Amino acid sequence: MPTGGNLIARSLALVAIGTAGAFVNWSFQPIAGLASPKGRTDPAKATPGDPPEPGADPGPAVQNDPGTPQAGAPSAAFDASQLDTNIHTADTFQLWQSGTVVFIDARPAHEYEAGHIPFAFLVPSESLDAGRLGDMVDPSIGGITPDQRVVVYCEGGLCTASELVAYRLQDMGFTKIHIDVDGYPGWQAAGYEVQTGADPVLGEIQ
Amino acid sequence: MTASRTIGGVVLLLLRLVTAGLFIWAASVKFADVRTFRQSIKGFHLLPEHILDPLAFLVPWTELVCAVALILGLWARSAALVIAGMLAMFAAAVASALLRPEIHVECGCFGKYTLLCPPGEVGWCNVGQNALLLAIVLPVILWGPGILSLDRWGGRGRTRAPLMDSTPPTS
Repeated sequence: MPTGGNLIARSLALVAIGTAGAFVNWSFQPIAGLASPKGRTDPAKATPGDPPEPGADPGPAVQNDPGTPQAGAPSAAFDASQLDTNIHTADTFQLWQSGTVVFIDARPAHEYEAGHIPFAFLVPSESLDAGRLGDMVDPSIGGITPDQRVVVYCEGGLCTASELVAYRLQDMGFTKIHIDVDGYPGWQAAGYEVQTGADPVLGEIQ
Repeated sequence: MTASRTIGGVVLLLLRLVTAGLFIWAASVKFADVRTFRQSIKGFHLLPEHILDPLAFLVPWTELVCAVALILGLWARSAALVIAGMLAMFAAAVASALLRPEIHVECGCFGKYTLLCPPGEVGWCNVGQNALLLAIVLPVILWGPGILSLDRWGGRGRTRAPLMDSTPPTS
C-alpha cells in the first residue's frame, strides 16, 4: 500500500505517461481544421454572387418549393466567394435568397420541427452516422453534390453541432462550407420566413 | 490466505476490470474520432481554444494508461485516483453546462455510443452516470487492488491494505 506521497507521485507519473503518448500522437496526427471556403467560386454561376439565371437549376435544397427562396435576389454587391467559414445572419439570408445554396440544420429533430430555415435539411449532429448525410448526397433522395455551397447552423452562439456536421461534410468532399454562428435564433430574431414540420426530403429521424 | 481476503480480492479484481473495460472502450471511441471529441470539449466552453487539441489526445491516452494499470493491478490505487479525478472533472463540466441554458453540448464520453444515458445533449443523467462510475472505482482507492494484482505480489510482506488485510483469519 503506497503512502499518500507515493500515491500522488504515481498518479502524476501515470498522467505524465499519458501526456507523453498524447504529445507523440498529436505531433504525428494533428487535428485538421475546417478549410476556408473563401475564394471558391460557384461553377454554376457566371459571376459569383449574382442572382441565379432564369431557368437555372436551383439545386435540390430548394426543390420543395422553388418559388419562395427566389422571392428576393441577393444584393448586387454580395459575393459569396468572399465569405469566410463563419458567417452571420445577414450573409446567410443573402445566400438563402440566391436559391442555390444548401442549408443544413444540425439541431435535434424536435427543434427543427418546431421551426427552421425554409428548405433546410435536418441532419442532427447525433445522427451523423445514421446515414442522413449519405442520403443527402444520394441522387435518388437529396441529390446534393459536393461542389455546392453549404450553410450549416444550430442554436447559434455556443452550439458546436454545426461544426461537427461541417467537418463531416468536409470529409465527404464539400469545399464551400459556411457555419452560421448566429444560428436559428439569429434568423428568427431577424424576422425572416421560417418553416415547421419534418424534413420533407430526408424524412423523420429513425 | 483467508476466505474473506480471497473474496475481497476477487471483488476488487472485478471492479478493476469493469472500470478498465469501460475506460478502454471510452478511450478507443475517442481515438477513433478525436476531432469529434475535441468538439465535445469545445462545446462545454470552459477551456481556451488552443488547449483543446492537446486535451483531446491527453484524455483518451490517460484513460488508456490508467485502464491498463488497473487491469495489471500495477499502481492500481494511483490509476483509480486519476480516473476518479477525471470522473469528478467530467461531472463538474456537465453540471456547469446544465447550469448554463445557452450551452447545448453532447457528452462525448463514449463517442457516438451511450452507457446509461439517452443520446443527445447532456443531462443530469450524465452526472449520475459519473457518480456511479466513481462509486465503482472508489473501493480500489480505499482498499487497494486486492490480492490478485501485481502491486500485492510485488509488495508481499512489505505493504498492508488497511481494510482488506485487517480481517481476522476465519480458519
